[in-house]
Amino acid sequence: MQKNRLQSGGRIDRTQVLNFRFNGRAYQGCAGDTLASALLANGVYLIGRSFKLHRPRGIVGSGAEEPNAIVQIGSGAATLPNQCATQVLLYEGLDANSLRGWPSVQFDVGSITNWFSRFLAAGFYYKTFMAPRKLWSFYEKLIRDSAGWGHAPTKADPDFYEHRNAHCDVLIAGAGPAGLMAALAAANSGARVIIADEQSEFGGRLLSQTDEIDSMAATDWVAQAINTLAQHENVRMLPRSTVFGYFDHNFVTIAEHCTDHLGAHKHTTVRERLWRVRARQVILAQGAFERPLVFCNNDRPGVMLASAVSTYVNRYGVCPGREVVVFANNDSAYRCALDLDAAGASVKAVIDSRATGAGDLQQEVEALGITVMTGHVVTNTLGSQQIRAVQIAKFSIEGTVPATLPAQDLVTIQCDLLAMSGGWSPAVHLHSQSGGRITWSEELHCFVPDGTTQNCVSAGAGNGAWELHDCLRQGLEAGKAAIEYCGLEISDLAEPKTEGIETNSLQPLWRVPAVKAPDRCPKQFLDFQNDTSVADVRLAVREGYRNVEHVKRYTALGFGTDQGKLGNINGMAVLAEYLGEPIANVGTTTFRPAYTPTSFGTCAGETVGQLFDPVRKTAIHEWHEAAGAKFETVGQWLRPWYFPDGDEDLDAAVKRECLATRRSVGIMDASTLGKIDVQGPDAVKFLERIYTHDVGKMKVGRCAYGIMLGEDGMLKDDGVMARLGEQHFYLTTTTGGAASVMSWLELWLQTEWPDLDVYLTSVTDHYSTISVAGPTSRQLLQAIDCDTSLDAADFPFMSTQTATLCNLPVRLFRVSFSGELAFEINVASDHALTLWCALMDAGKNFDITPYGTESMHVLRAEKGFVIVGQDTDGSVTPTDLHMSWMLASDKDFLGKRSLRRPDALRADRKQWVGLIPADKTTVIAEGTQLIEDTAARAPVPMCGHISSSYDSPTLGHPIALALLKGGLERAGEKVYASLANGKAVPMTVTSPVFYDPQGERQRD
Amino acid sequence: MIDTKLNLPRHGLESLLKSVGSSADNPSAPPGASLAISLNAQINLRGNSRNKGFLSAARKALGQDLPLTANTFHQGEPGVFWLGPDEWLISSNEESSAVLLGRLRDHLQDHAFAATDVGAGQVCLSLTGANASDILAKGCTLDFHPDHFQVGDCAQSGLGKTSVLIALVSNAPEFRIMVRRSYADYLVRWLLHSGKEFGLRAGAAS
Repeated sequence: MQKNRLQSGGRIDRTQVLNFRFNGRAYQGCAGDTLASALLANGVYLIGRSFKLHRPRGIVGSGAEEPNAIVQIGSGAATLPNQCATQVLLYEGLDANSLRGWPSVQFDVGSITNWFSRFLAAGFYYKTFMAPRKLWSFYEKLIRDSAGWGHAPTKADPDFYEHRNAHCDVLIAGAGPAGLMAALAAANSGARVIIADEQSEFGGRLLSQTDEIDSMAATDWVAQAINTLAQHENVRMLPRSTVFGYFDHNFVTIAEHCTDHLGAHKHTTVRERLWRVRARQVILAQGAFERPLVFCNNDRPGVMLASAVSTYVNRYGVCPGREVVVFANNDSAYRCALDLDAAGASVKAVIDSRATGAGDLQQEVEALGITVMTGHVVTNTLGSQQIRAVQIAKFSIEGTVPATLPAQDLVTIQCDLLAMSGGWSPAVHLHSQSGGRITWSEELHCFVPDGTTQNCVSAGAGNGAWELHDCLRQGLEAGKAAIEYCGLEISDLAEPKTEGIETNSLQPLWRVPAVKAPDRCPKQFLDFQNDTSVADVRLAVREGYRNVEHVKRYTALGFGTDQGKLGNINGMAVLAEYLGEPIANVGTTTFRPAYTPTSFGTCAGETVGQLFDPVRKTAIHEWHEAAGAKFETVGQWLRPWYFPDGDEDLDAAVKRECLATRRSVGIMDASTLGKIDVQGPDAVKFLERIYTHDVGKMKVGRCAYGIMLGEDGMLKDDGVMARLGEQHFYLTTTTGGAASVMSWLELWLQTEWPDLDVYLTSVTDHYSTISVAGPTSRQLLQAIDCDTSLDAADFPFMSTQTATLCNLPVRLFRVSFSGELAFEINVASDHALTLWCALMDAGKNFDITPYGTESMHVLRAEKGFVIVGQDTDGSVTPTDLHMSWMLASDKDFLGKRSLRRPDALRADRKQWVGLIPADKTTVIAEGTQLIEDTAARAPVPMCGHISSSYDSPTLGHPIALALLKGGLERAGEKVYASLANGKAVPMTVTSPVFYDPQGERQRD
Repeated sequence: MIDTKLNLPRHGLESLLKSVGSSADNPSAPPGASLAISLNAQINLRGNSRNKGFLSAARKALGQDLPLTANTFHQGEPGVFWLGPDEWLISSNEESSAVLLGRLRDHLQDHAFAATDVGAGQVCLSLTGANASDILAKGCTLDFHPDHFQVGDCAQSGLGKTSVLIALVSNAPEFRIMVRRSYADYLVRWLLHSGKEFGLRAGAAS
């Protein structure tokens, strides 16, 4: 039974009953409810236990400011932790649970901490659990279990998410009176408008109030405004969409909640959408937060914000109490008394701290026979899990707030609901994120936006405009100003008519004194979510904290899911009081994105699973897949790692692939090599400066192995260079270096040598490269209709020519990365699969064996060919790699001068060597450190490390390549590979070239 | 020698595209966009746009001017896209790369230039339909509003996590998306995923 549900009124649909569960119990609510309004409708006041002290807590607010009603929704993979019940829309089957409270939220063993709360002041954990240090992990577990938040799902999120970029003339954050008015003004002029509001319906406070606009109910005016906006093609309306981040150049992020309100769904549509908006003008109209008042036991369930009470009555048709006391220091809470009276509740009294009382509204309230007690305060509440009564006392401020109140003055009033209002604080979060300044208004007693650094303007309650007509006017003006900025014609939209009332100004009241001092009286909470009280801030100041950021971190004021939206301003004002400084000097903590908690899914968008990172595939990929290749990722490329025959493992496959290549012919897809086409009259001049060898001496049709150095003289990349014409070269780079080498070359060309007439074009994707290697590779090519002679005399090692293979135009390179007779075939990628299949077909007669990257690594290691990035790490010079012969002495090239630095000439530089384990059986892990002396005491000096290591099928024993101090001079010596298990394996230093040192096979 | 006009399939992408219709949320609803692969020859041309002789020789070779306004292209046969102050992409549906290259080299031989066949290295996708720009907006930060991106405009930008050349060829709207061949499989998957809510279908190749 929804015992607090009103018979009529509100924006809920009483005919649509929704079943839901809270802490295991079944309840019913109505379509249009939030979880909070449905719980209040059912008379559920106790929602959870507080973070530190496990005090019983209930619903305080009605929106993003809610500190207490934080729940876990659902279970399993799609469970949502730390959801704010005031923002969760009710749906059929919703299942919510309190975050804390064991064994139940009603009887919580943890509430024992509350009895000791006097000892659990700010800094308690820091002070108490510092020593002994070893026990911290034990304490930490206890504390985390006791405090803690919701639990994250342990399985992958079944929902999906997306990002959407958008551009607009005017972005409006907040669709209350100011936001809607601004949107109407902008839309009328044809501007591209995006208006977003975190709530399920547009209207903001207008949905919770009983005002009239243009002689119609405010809610009707809202409906009319939405209709008008919907007719404009250029207006995008985003309900359930939180503007949560404001970045440079008017880049604003919005989290749109698309499906959560629908309840159970099949996870087939987008759950949350991240809008990334670039706006010419931003209008911030997010409204303001009502402040609580600070008195003893102000956290008891049944103590609520006055505006929230009005919202539950007017918007959700729920009257959260029968006997109500209203406590305020300003006029706005009088509306709550009127709303409650209209809803049939008994308003026992309006307690107003001001001696003057309120303006017009006070007469309205008193006309209903409600007692208004001016010059009084609520100083304490009574009850256990729900408020039972309030204690009030006479109060006046004469110069300063009195330290204590006389106990004999206390009067008790029974009630089941206390509606409080301590005034309003504009939501300046986005303004502040944008880089805008905020200042303390002595007139309004709140921080207000003051000066912007970006094209944005604040309007409405978020700008300190409390009255409806001010909100509408500011919205209209902001809309028109935005239109003017965008250079569009301003429409003659008139300001709607509203009835103004006379109000009295707010009395600043940051804490209500008690009969005892703050550390002796019941807790006066500032931040409900973190259990931060007046006594904590007082203690922090006593212990020497002065800066608001430090006090925040010492007392936890303003942390948590609500980030202090409710309590921060009260906390800062109390801090100012104890520091004896004006609030303006104390300032605020920093407002950072996100404005409200934003899910990881929203941040990730669609970039999960197969779209997490692009997978690059070669034109022959399909064949590899069909052949059952095991793949490895190389950068973004997916390359065949090895081709297992049946249930072969890596070692067996690699052995077979390597031996077949050495004995007959192997075939490899080398398409991932970076390929750069270089053309222009200055091509030679340019390449001479990039590469270390003598480029000019290369004859057309010849290839050369080339290396390029960084400015530091260290090896940067290597590859084969071919001269295709007098002014035409073709470069290959390593797979991983393709993009960075291209950028490196363009950088020099565009910024340092713009005088050179050279053009670079990447042809990496245009050409596929098929490498056939092995003693019978020549015969294989001849078997598929090669139209040119491949004999060594006509087509020598390290040369290139165009040819026709299998009726396809190709370019052949006689280069070898295996040490065998080999041909690299470049073919337009459109024909690559055709050619590959033809080679495989013809290759049957030659025992052709496809091989992957692992065999490629083994074959080249046997031959002592370096792999940049594996055997080098950016600290290796050509000399270290036995490549001094490649450094042309009669020209300059990048990095040359650095090779003469003393460090580059040190004798004990790490230099490249081969290693063979003395036992000829142990394969040492790559990365293993080398040491000289097994008896040395720790820390043992290291003399090098192993960069490549394989079991060589060709040689029949393990080999390794290593960078060893002074390695060039150490052939034949013994060093030790130091294993992780503490053992040391003796290794013999050799030349890095293990196989065919004369290179006869590749020149065949 | 076989015809290099490239009537060969773009391996693998066709079968990916065929799955489009069946993966739509509501197969009977009218598609908000369709996706097709179009085949064409492509030449990357480099040269000095301040050299009047180069420009007029290029005009003779191509039958039209090289676009000199940033981020625009000239439709026609062949189409010419501005890629940079000294770089253009020439795209033809009718002529082979070899024929185009030959004509360019004939006419430009007196000038410093580079003409390079890149056709097999790029896949040209065509994305058409009322929701085409909504799909692009999921992965590209450019503003595709008709007031800002008009027929004849092109831009090199990121789409998803790849680099692409996007051009608006008609007000249908029809976008041409040129992507590196090795990234095409990823990009088609990305487009299929992003277009799902709009009922993205496989369209006819042009």
